[in-house]
Formats: sequence, structure tokens, C-alpha cells
Amino acid sequence: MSARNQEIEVKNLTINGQALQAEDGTVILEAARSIGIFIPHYCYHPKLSIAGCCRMCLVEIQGQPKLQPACRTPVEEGMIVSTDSSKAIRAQRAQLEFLLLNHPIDCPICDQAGECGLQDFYMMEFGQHKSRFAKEEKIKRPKAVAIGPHIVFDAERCILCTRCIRFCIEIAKQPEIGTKNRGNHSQITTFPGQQLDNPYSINTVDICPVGALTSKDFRFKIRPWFLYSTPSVCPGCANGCNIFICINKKHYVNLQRAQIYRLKPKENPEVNDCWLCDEGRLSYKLVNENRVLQPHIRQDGQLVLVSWERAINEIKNRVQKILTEYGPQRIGALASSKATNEANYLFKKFAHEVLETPNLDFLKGLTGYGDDFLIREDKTPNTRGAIDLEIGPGAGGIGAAEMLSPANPLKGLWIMGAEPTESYDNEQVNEALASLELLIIQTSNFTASCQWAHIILPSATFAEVDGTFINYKGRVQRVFKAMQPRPESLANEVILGRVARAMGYDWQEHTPAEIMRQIAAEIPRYHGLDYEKIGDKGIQT
Amino acid sequence: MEKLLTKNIHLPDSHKIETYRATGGYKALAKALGEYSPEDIIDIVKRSGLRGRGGAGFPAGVKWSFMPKGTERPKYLICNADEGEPGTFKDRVILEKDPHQLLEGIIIASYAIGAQQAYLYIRGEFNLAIQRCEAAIREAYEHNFLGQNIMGKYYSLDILLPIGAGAYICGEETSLMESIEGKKGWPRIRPPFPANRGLFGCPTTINNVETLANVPHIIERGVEWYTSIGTDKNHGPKLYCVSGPVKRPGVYELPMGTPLPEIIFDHAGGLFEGRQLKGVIPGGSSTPILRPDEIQVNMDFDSLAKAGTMLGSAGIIVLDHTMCIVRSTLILANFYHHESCGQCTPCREGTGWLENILHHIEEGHGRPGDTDLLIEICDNIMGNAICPLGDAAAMAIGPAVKKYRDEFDYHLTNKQCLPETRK
Ligand SMILES: Cc1cc2nc3c(=O)[nH]c(=O)nc-3n(C[C@H](O)[C@H](O)[C@H](O)COP(=O)(O)O)c2cc1C
Ligand code: SF4
Ligand code: SF4
Ligand code: SF4
Ligand code: FES
Repeated sequence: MSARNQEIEVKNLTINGQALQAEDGTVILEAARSIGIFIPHYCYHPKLSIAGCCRMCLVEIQGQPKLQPACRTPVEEGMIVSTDSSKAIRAQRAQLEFLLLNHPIDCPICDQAGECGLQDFYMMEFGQHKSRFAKEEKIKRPKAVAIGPHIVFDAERCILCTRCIRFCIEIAKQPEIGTKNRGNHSQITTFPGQQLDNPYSINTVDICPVGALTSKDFRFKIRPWFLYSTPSVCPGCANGCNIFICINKKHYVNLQRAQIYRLKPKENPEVNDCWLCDEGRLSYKLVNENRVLQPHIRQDGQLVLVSWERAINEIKNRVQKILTEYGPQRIGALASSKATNEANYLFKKFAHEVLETPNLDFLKGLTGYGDDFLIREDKTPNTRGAIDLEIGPGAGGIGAAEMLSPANPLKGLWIMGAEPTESYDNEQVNEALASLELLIIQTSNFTASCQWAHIILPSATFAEVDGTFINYKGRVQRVFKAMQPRPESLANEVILGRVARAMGYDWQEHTPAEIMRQIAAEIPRYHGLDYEKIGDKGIQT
Repeated sequence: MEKLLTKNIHLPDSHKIETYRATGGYKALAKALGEYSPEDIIDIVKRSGLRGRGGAGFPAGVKWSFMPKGTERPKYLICNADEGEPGTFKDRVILEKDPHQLLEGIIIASYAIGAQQAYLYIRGEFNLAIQRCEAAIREAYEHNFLGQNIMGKYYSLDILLPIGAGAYICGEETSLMESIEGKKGWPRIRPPFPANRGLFGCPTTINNVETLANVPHIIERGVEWYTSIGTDKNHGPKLYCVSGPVKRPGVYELPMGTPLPEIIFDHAGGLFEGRQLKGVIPGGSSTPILRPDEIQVNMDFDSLAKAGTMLGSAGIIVLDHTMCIVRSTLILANFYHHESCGQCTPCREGTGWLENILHHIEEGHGRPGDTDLLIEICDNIMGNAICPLGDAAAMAIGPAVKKYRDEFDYHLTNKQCLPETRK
């Protein structure tokens, strides 16, 4: 027997007549799932402890007089399970009827409609349910209670599966909620004087199988069945949690009407399991709010809107002027740990070839709260990438700190995708920027330093481009373009290419995938990598 | 039969240690610590056939033998004195009148399973019992029956007296443990079983008051003597509680397996004049009711199981012909609805629904089909809940509806009670 076989014992069993093998310790519910048999369940969640309280998953096991909960009964050798015997089906129907007894069935005004386990069942599986319990007698309970900054609770819809409670204890490690009262008066409640405000609270909305917990941010905005999801990576910190970006409609992907309505966790056991932090989840707002939507040029102290053509022309003239009058030592270039590797890579090339300057660095962005679960102190998604790409001063060049100090020798500065005051002292930065002859800021959103900019170029956000981020552990992960860039804004690498060509350089237009291959060829750590290999789960380097 | 469990209760100051010792108390403890190893005691109790008096009748010695040996983890003994089952008031007699008998049993049992900490979890409403147990524990410490090196031997035990806060469900062994741990009284799912992971996650044995009160007698007088009392596989003395319209309601100590009619008609003196027997709930409210034609049964675990019901807590509730079965079933449904912990779906929702329907029938606005619906709901709860409380509700209600179906249907048709049961 091989060592592997000794480690993991395999059990042979039968579910609904189908023979299968499952590892020792697997519960029946998971074993069934592995062969495509779905056992209804509400309280069971693969990432939480097992409560066994909803009793939806009862199955018949030959030789056992009582039905057993599939969610907590491990497989055994020779076990014969049936999930569709008349006894099991009867029990499932009975539990469903019990659960609906005091349930308001207000699907038309419920945010969960369309992704509700309860609705799915009574509508789809068991046919239209005819209530044997008078509607007027249903227990009245509080509805639409704000139990935390992000969460609204509807006690009538709650089926007391306790997933939210277990999440707070086991995952968020902040027990803020529990149940009060007994019997059918039981109710989820926050503990006295507390609210559901742990940094991960919105995950409870994801795992609530019904519409009892809804997100304040998302509720009533749109029906979930309209939403279209694209995989991506959260831009909120260096952890690189995997997400889905949900926009309003599939065919809006290429239209300007596309809007992000929410971010959802995308399961990746290597990074975030199936969780997101609240801050990261709400970080999509930067895509919708305060966007720079057209190039700007400062004229007589005022920023005015101009065409791309005009902006690039202006850049060409003014950059050339600085280069000829002062030389490349007097111009600086700052990339960003918020930008993709593809953008940063091209920016480095741009600094070397077009600006001809050794004064290159990247801005590190904000730091803040971090913990030992997901949230990192580094609030940018790609610091590791910028380090690996060696975005830093060349021979004789100066770094970001020097560039942004009042004593800097610079006449011109090009900043891509970052806000200097996030990492450096406000006053010093202002003084440094105010003294410049030319400040070009390539940015997706208006930030404080735009007040000093001579030229502002609208760039696309993470949601509007293809590219890669590298998380703090060195995992390369792809972001996928979930929607077209907002009007007039362009991906960073597209902007750099256009400017380079305008200034007479023979730069080809490269797709992000092609740029990645160049990176892989150049940086030993990434040898052999391409988008296909990275896939949608990422690769540890 | 010679009285054992209740032999002292009529003595003045029966609850005091002097009285208890004057009648031979704590001799069994001396014998246990002096002559027997813990394994010997487990073996003796096993052979005595002592079955748990808390309801399920599980052999006590076997339960004790499940405790893991040679573990570094602390072990606990819990005495379940939550006595909340309607119709049951037997443990209370021991707690109030002869607490030392119980303490002696607790100490011997703790010694047998290797526990150095015992808990006596007592129902919060039992004011007198709490006072008496507190005093008894103090006395036992003073006489070195508790504490360090008990009776000079190499065995030490401490005991705590947690007080329940008024939940029937906290008499269920695992929610009782949650309660001691300071949590909400929600039963745990088994496995793991308490012998492996019980109180604070450590090996724990839990026994009923009456079960433990039997132990000193077994140690003192031996297995042969003990097994001579009672019927086959149902040995020893048993406390029966009789309530309802009988002439002498109360607690009766009789051999296990005493016939039910003998208890009701001889010991409890029969029904009030002019009353006819309508039914008997034999083992506390959770056990299926027996019709008058079914009461020829011996009151032990196996005979009652054969009769389709249970010995339970031996709380015999007598109903006479003036009592409305719908109303009495409603009262029980109300109880289970009120006491359901709310953790699992069938019991949480089912008990409320049962009460709702029974309420309608009793109030005269039941709907056709309600009788069948009641039975169906009970069937849907039975066996599908996390703990036995759900089953208990189903057993208290389902059989009553089935066996007195005519009376339920009479309510549905006539919108009122049978003439003889009207208030
Ligand atoms: C709802 C419920 C209430 C219970 N209440 C009590 C009780 O008050 N006292 C008791 O001894 N056992 C009670 N039990 C039984 C206990 O769970 C447990 O089986 C018993 O204490 C074991 O003791 P024994 O083996 O000595 O009988 C209850 C069980 C259930 C399901
Ligand atoms: S609020 Fe949702 S997750 Fe929490 S117990 Fe209720 S149904 Fe379950
Ligand atoms: S932990 Fe970081 S990456 Fe994950 S969701 Fe939060 S901000 Fe985003
Ligand atoms: S059966 Fe009732 S009392 Fe027991 S766990 Fe379920 S809801 Fe609670
Ligand atoms: S999923 Fe198994 S009991 Fe809830």
C-alpha cells in the first residue's frame, strides 16, 4: 500500500443507488455533492462549524431507524444512503413547511429573491406551497432593523440557521450576535450595547440563506438576476482577495451604461476562502464616484477640459521643453502600487526610453488597520509587483521621498495612478508639487494633488482593465476587464503607448497579455508565466 | 417493601447530617473508599442493574464505564436535579428531606469515575431544596466527606451547586452542561457524547438524583440483595409520583415493576368518589397516555415500552371523566411550545403550530382535518429533532389525539367540549 493510501482512508458507499468512494471523515452531504446529488441544507456551511439545526438535510441510512442529518454524519464503509426515499422526501417537505410557517413570503419586496434557498425550494422543488397556517397568525417580528453600519436585519425572514452567529464567532472572531428568547419566539439579536460591526460583517449577508440579512449598500438597488459577474481581485489591500465584480447587465459590458452594483467574494482557498472584508467590498465605489472623465489642462490657473489629441500634443511639447532646457535629470516619474504590473512595467519602460530619466520610483499608498486574517496594513493591491518589477531609481536617480521633498531638483514630474499625500507629508508634498514647472497626473479619480497638476489624464480603474496584481505573499493574480473604461478614460498602458508614439517612439500597441509575456521573459521570478497559466485562481511565485 | 430511599424522610430534621449518620449514613462511603477500587464500584453498579431514573433507563454502571481511563483531562460528575417534567416531584423529596443520601451517592459515583469535581445542578424554583443542599454540602465538608482526602483516604472531591434559571430544556443533559458553562441552554448534537466531551469539553457523567441516591444502598447491601427487588432487568426501589384526582396523591416508594393499578388504586387510594378513570399518563408528561383498558401494566422500563409508552420519570398523571382531553392536551402543547429551546426547526415551529391548532379546537373554531393535521405534525417532529424534547412533545400529543380521536372530532363538529367535561 502506498503512503498516500495509508494517510487517507477511503470509504465505499452508495447514495441513491450510485456507488461512490469518499475520504474518511467526509460528511454525507459533501459526498453526495461530489457525485452531483444535491441535498437541501440551510444551516450547513462548509467553512463553519456544523450546527445541524435546520434539519433540512435529513436522509435515510439503511439499518438506522431514524433519519440522519447528512451535514454531520460522516460516511462509513458499506453505508447505503437514500436522499430521495419517501421517508426522506417527507421529512424535507415537513421541514420546509415548518420553516415557512411563520415566514412572511414577501419575496416581491425581498432583496434575496432570486438567490434565496427558501424560495428556490418551495417554488422550484416542491411546487407552489399551499399554506396550512393562517397568514394573520404568523408571528409578527421586527423588520428592517439596522443592526450594524452595513447590515439590515429582518427577523420575520430569519430561519435561525445560526450561520451568521457562527461566522462572527469562528471567522470574524468577534461574537456580536446571538439568539434571544425560546421556541418560535427565538430571534437573532446583537448583544446589549453592541452592533454587528466587525470588519467582515457583510459576509453574513452572503451566507444568510434567506433575505434576513441584507447589505445596506446593496439593498433595493437591483434584482440579483440582472447582475453579471466578472472575476477579479480586490484593490483594497495587499491581500488580493478574489472577487466577482457585479455589473447591472451582461450586455452592458461594452456599454457606458455599465455600473458596478456590488463586489462578491470569489472562493479561493489559497487567499480568502469565500470571504471579503467590508472595506474591500465597498472599494468598488472608486469606480463609480469622483472620476476624471476627460483630459484636463491648466490654463491661466484653471483646469479646462480638452481632447486627448490636444492633451498629448501639450505633453509632447512641454516634456520636450524640459528635456532640452534642463535635461532628463530634472524630470521624475512615479508609478504606483495600485497599478497593474502591466501598467507599471510599461511605465518603467516609458521613464527610461521616453523621459530618459533615472528618477523612477513608485508610491506606496495608504497604510492602515491590518489583522491576522485577511486585512493587510498595506492598502494597495500591488506593492509586491512594483518591487518585483524593480520600479526604483536607476543609476544617479532619486527616489520618491526626494522627488516629493521641497528641496527636490525637479522641474517636471509624471505621476501614474497614485496620490503622493497618501504616503508623504501633506505640506512637504504641496510645496514640492507647487514648485514644478510641469506636473502630469495620470489618474482615475480626482485626488488632492490634482490641484497642482498642469495636465490630468483620465485613466481606467482596476475594474476596467485586464492585468495582474501580486499579493503580499507573491501570488500573481489576474484582474479581468468587467466593463468598458468610463468615457474618455483609458487603460494606463494605452495612455503611455499613445504618448510614446506621439513623441516619435516606435512603440507597438501591446495587449496586457503580451506585456505579461515580456515581464515573464525579463524578470527571472516570473519566467514562463502567462495569462493562461495564471488562470482565474492565480499562481504562487 | 422496606423503604430505602425514603426511609428517613419522616424523621425530625431528616435533612441534617446527624440524623443521616444516626441511621447508618456515610457507611457506604467508608466501605467504598476503604474496600473497593473505582473499577470495583463500577462493576458492582453494573451488576446491580441500576438503570437511570432520569427518564431513559440507561444502565448507570455501563454509563460510568464509558469514562475514558488514563486521561490527563479533568473529569466531572453532574447530578441532574433540574426536575422539570410535568407530573414529576420525586427528586425534590430527596433533595429537601434527605440530601445527604444524595451526596453520599454523588461522592461514591465521583470516586468510581475518577472525578474530583462534581456539580449538583438544581432547579432554581426549588428554594427549600437549594437551602437544604447548601447546608448539607457545608456539613459534609465539615465532616470531611467532601474536600481534601475524604475520610483520611487518598481521594478528594469538591462540589458546586449551580442553580437553574427556569428552563425545562436545561434538564436535558447537554443543555444543562451549556448552562453550567454560562451559555444559553441549547442541547448539543451527539456525538460526541458527554463521556468523551462533556462539561467544558471534558469527560463527564451525568445522572439523575434518584439514580445516585440508589448507589449507597447498593454498595452497603450488595448486588444480590439489590437485584432481589423488582422485576427482571428492572431492579431496585422506585419512586412513583401520583397526581390528579386521586385520594392520596404523592410520592410512593415501591419496587420497580409494581403494577400501575396497584399504585393508583391501592397506594394512592383510587379516584375521587364518583369519578371514572379516563386515562393515565404513566411517566411524566412526555410519555404516551394509556387508556383505561391499557393500564394493566407493570411500572418498569421494559413493560411500559412494550405497552407503547415509557416509564420516563415515573410521574403518573391520572385523568378522570370530567377532564377534557383537548384542554389537557392543549396545556401540554402550551408547555412544550413555551419550553422548546428554539434551536431546531421541527420542534421550534412544530410545537407552536400544535398549540395553535389545539387552541382553535378548544375555543370552538377548529377546522375539519385538524385531528389528522395534529397527528401529521407530531409524526413530522418525531425522530427529526436534535434532542428528545421534540419527540416528547410529539409523544405527549400524538397518542392523545389518536386514542381520544372521537373526543377531538366531537369538538370539531360541536364546537364545544363533551357535556361531562364542560366547566
Ligand atoms: C427536555 C428534557 C428534560 C429533561 N429533564 C431532566 C430532569 O429534569 N432531570 C433528570 O434527571 N433528567 C432529565 N432529562 C434526562 C437527562 O437528559 C438525562 O438523560 C438524565 O439526567 C440522565 O440521568 P440517568 O441516566 O441517571 O437517568 C431530561 C431530558 C430531556 C430531553
Ligand atoms: S439572519 Fe440569516 S444567517 Fe442569521 S440565523 Fe437568520 S437566516 Fe440564518
Ligand atoms: S482584505 Fe484586503 S483584499 Fe481582502 S477584501 Fe479586504 S481590502 Fe480587499
Ligand atoms: S428538539 Fe426542541 S428543545 Fe431540543 S434542540 Fe430542538 S428546538 Fe431545542
Ligand atoms: S443542513 Fe443539516 S441540519 Fe441544517
